[in-house]
Amino acid sequence: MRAYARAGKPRPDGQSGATLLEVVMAMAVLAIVLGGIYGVFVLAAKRAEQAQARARVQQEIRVAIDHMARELREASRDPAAVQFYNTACTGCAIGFRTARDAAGTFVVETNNMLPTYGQPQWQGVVYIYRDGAMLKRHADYSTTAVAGSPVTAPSTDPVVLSNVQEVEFRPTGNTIRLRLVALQRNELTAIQTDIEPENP
Amino acid sequence: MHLHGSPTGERDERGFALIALLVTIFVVTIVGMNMVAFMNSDITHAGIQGDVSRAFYVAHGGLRDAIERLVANQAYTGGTGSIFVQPTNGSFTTAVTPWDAAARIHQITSTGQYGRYTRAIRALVQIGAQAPAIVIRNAFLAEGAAGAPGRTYLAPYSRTGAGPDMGSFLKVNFRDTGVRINALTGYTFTLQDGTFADYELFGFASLPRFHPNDPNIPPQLAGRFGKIMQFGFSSADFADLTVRNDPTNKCPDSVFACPISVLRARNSAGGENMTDLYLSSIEKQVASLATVDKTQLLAEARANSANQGINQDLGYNNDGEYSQAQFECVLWYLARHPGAPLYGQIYVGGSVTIGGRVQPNQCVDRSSGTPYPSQNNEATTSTLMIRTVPSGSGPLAGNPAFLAVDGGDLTVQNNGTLQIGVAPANFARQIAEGGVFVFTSPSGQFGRIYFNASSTFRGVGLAYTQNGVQLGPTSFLDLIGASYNDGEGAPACLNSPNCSSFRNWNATAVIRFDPRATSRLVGGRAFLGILAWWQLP
Repeated sequence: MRAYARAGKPRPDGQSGATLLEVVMAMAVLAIVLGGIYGVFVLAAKRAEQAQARARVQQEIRVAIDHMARELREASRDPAAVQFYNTACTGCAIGFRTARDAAGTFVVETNNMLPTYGQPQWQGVVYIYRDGAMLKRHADYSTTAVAGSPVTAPSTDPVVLSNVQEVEFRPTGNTIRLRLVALQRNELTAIQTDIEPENP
Repeated sequence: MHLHGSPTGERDERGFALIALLVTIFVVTIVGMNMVAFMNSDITHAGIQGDVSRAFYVAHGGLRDAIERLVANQAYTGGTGSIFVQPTNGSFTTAVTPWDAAARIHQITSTGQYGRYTRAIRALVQIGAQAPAIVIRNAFLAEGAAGAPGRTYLAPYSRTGAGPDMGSFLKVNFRDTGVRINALTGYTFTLQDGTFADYELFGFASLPRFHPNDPNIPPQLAGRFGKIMQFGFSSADFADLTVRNDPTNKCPDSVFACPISVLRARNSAGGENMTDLYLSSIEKQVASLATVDKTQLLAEARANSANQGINQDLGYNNDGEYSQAQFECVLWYLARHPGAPLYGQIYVGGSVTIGGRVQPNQCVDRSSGTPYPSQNNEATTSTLMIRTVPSGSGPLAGNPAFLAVDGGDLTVQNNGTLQIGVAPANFARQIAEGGVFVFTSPSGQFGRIYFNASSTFRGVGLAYTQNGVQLGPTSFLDLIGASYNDGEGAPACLNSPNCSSFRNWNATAVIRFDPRATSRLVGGRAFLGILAWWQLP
């Protein structure tokens, strides 16, 4: 604009100011600058959102694994007391005995005539299984025999983890390998741990 | 920004870029701070999770610490300690309380702390004297003619999960073909608590069949039999003991470190006849010299007044201590009153023969109006039952049953039967304190159990001898508990069938191991296992 003013003649009305071309050009430059700022903003916001999603899904997986680790550590070492199921996915369901009753109390055998005196008195069976994009927990207190095939999924079963992409329960020597992969806002997060059942 | 010019005709556009820059910086800062906040939150959560996990493992360390101290001192009540967990120390507090003192079960609560976070776990643990089910400090001699029974089973009583080491042998000597140790054939027998097929003793629902050279030994077998035994299964016949057949190059540490050969003792004649299977280094590894405190047994017997009727009828003091001649009269009395058991703790100075005879006038039965003296060579009972003291017996109720024979042999003959504490009452105390104990004489003689031909023993608790056990042809041993048989005092016995620590001569022996039965043994105290383990809220 300054260059135009220097090169051109004084305007007839004696007024100085920006020509339309100047304004258009100024707005174009401004649009480019603002566009750049907006791009940076959008990118940063997206990254923040991704970080938030990743943090959230990681925390959800951690909580789910902590919950399952507690139960699996209290399970029986007896290979017959744990069942790994391979159905729609590989090793994506597990069933194991629990000595906690429906109220959550750990029960020990107190009948001293039994050979299991002092050992866990098994109250039922816990199944953790994948139901679509959800990991669910089903407790069956009607039996202590772990089913040979995974339970069907009642809609009332509580959800342990949502947005599940992969679940793996695998026996690895004396331990059980637990691997969870969950997705949130295109953020895929995986956590894996090995848990050793510690009861007889 | 000014569109109109300055008095000089020039428009002042200074600061335009600065504003744009400030806006950009502001936006980026806000977004960046947002990201940092989320990352910080994530790191915090992960840190908390890590500290909680550390607290859990510190609590675990506290539990192990308490167990070690408890093994050394059964009066240990707990304490505190610290464990270094990268990058700093965690601390634990343990509390130990008796859960069942008779069964030596203790409850341990361990709380681990790391930083601001704590985790608490609780466990029931059992402390005993010896880990192996059967300790044979001399030779284990097995003899079995083709087609004869000759079966020995060393099985866990609790059939869930892996068990402890099942035996300890200085020498296993198979003299004949047809010998079977833990040979699973589908053979069925009636035991004190039911009828079982032999494979059921080991937790199998059906007869297992595996190829003997298959390296994939089922883990439940390897776990149950620890370092002592490993099993292979022949597709042609049955499961059998796998040990090394090399008397020169003894196994250094465990059978797993040795080249393995399979002992095949087939149902019919023609199987391999392997003898002298040396396991001496293993014996030294897992078994230590142990004994039973017989002064304690005597004190308990002297306090046993649960057999008042018999003692009164025979004119004896009302306690459980008898001389050899007195106890012969007790057995004679029981023959005259068939079906009557003895109760509680019985201690005999001398030998005991079930199915023996008495001298004329040795005993007098005053149960009826006219006293009846024993006649010449009159028979004693061939069935002796010693029961747990029943309920309603005042402070004696629930006292365990045992027969202690001090300075002689215990012989069951004439197709006789000995039952110790079979009644299912107060099981934990019975198995921890009951059984049969046979001690040598001051001159080192006797101290041996003879189950002669076709005799039967059924019992709960510890079967302890200072000089060994001999099972005669077609006799039957049915023990829930543990067996300790010494023969160390006579090295020549290694090759003698008459004084080996354990001789199965065409008999059937079923010993189902419950670690509580080792409670009477003094020496070699050991941690027997965590019975139950759970986390507290």
